Amino acid sequence: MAKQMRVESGKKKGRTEYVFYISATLISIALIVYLWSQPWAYTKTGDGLSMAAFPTVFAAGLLIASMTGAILKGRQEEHSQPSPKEEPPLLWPVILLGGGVIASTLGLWYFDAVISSSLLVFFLLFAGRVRDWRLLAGISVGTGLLIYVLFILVLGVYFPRGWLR
Amino acid sequence: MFAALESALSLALAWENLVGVVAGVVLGVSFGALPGVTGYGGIALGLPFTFFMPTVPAMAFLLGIYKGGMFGGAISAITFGVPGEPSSAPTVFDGFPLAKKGKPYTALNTALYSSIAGNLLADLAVIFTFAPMGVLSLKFGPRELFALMFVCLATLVIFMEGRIIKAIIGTMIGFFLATIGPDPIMNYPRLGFGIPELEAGIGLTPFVVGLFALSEMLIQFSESLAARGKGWQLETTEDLRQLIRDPSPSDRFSVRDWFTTTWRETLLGSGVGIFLGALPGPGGTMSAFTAYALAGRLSKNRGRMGTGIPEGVAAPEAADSATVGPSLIPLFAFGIPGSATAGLFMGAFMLQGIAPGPGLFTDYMDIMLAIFMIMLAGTVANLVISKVVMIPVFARLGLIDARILIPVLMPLMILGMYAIDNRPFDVLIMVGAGLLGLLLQRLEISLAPTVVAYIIGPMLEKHFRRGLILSGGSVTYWFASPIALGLYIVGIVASVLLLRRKKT
Repeated sequence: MAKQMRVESGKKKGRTEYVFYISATLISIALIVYLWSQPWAYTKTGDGLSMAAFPTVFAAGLLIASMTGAILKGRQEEHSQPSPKEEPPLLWPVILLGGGVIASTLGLWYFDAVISSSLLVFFLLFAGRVRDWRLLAGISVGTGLLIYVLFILVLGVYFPRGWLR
Repeated sequence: MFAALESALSLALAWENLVGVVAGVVLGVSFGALPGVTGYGGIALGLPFTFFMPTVPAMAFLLGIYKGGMFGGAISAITFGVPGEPSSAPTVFDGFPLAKKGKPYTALNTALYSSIAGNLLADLAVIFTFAPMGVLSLKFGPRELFALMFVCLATLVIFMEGRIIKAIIGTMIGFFLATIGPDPIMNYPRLGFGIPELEAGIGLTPFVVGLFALSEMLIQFSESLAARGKGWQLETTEDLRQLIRDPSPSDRFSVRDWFTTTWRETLLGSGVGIFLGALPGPGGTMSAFTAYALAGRLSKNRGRMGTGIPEGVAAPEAADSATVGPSLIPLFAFGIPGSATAGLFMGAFMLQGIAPGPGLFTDYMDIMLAIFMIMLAGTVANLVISKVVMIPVFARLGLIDARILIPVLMPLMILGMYAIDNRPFDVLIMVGAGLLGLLLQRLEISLAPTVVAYIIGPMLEKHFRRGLILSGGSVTYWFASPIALGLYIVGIVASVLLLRRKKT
């Protein structure tokens, strides 16, 4: 049963890799088209190269490698190997952490560096299923204090003044 | 000469200089160890204070921060999986897994001893050979530096562990991302994709921190969520204690253990760091990655690199720290800062009314000799302070449950990235790099080629295009220099040998 699950997981991983190679191929084609279509300020500089020369070479390299990967993966698809380990789902952690980081960065303008950081800590602890209120409040406020001392008092970083100030 | 030595010794041993170097080391290690705050930031912060100090204590203070920051970056990399500096990124590969195995003391002590050894060897190299090394560094023009980048590219072969296509894809992604930003010759914005902030380019620190740290945090956070299905309450002091794991009983690592296990990797890393550190461009990050890559092929335990072994910590740490002294050689000898940090040191000299350059050793011999002695004193101070204070504290912090640690680290990283240039866009770059790192890790694509290509890319383009301008399109120009020719041969031979060694 466990082996069957790992084989399924291996097949899923193989499909993910195939999708990645195809996506990388399409992205590199789009990049090359974009590079060709741009009105570059310097189409020929003192060295005889366009500003787009190096980006085009690297995009072409990505195109060749990802196309090769897709072809090789397509041939291997029928011989799927069991995945060595089960990996935990990443969707929710990505949404929680990524969303939290972006919201906290935006919060710099609306609240304040200290308050938005404390709120982020509180939110992430709560999302991590920490339910003890003393711990939640203590760590959130403590991190806010650490940030105030380190970034504002010691480093003198200028943060946007949120509407609370 | 002896009179100058005597005068330098009395200068170096003055209490204010020793206080300066100790204060600098404490500040440097602390800043480097905090995720999101770099040692470079510490030097920039300390620079204005030196205006009110005499020359030698000012330099002692800044050298202390520089040396302390190098090891501090490793503390953060090992304890939290967050490279405190871009140059600490390869330390994450083995240091963090070693700490996760319950052996934070082993990892941190290996990093400390290797860092001190690399630092000491580099200081001695600077003291005894700074004149020829300075002359050698001046012989590196565009074609020699391009050839050097070719050698660095050859080391990428090492990361191609059976999945060449994946490594090439990672490399090309790194190269392409490096071309976003100002064109290296005309300095004209390129590849902004309609986003004005992107026209300034992708900063190295947010990119590396996102790629390594944020992606690792996402993985740890998801593992932690999956491991504990239901919420828990803190009701007794025993619950609180459970938040901090106990270190493994076998987590003992003496100087003797370090020497017998990692002397090869430490020597290798020191050699790489001293050589690359003296040249303008490569710096600590390139040195650390090159040393890690070479150790991955030449180490006795090469098959286990990346799984959490001391050898994988020793090589990059020794290389990174070995760049400290040599990176100042072009500044001391010719007044040319070879790195951003050397530029800050140049500013510190200027604040003191001293113009770095060839006259430095004739006009201020006693001061320069005192600075060399203080470099050695700084290494000793770094060893004592890190061993007695920093390692015990941070080894314990690293054992705290990920569900508590990650929420606390996140705002530090966000504000640290913001504070680099007061640019919120850097935080978004960190998030984007984190998602890219997560995708690459899930697809089993090594992150190292992406970062190495990202660092080499702009230098490769700049030196190639400068060479084209200088040569007027002549092919013979590229092979007319014996140094460049030698480096091409080294690159080709090394990649062939490394590939053959891999096959066997």
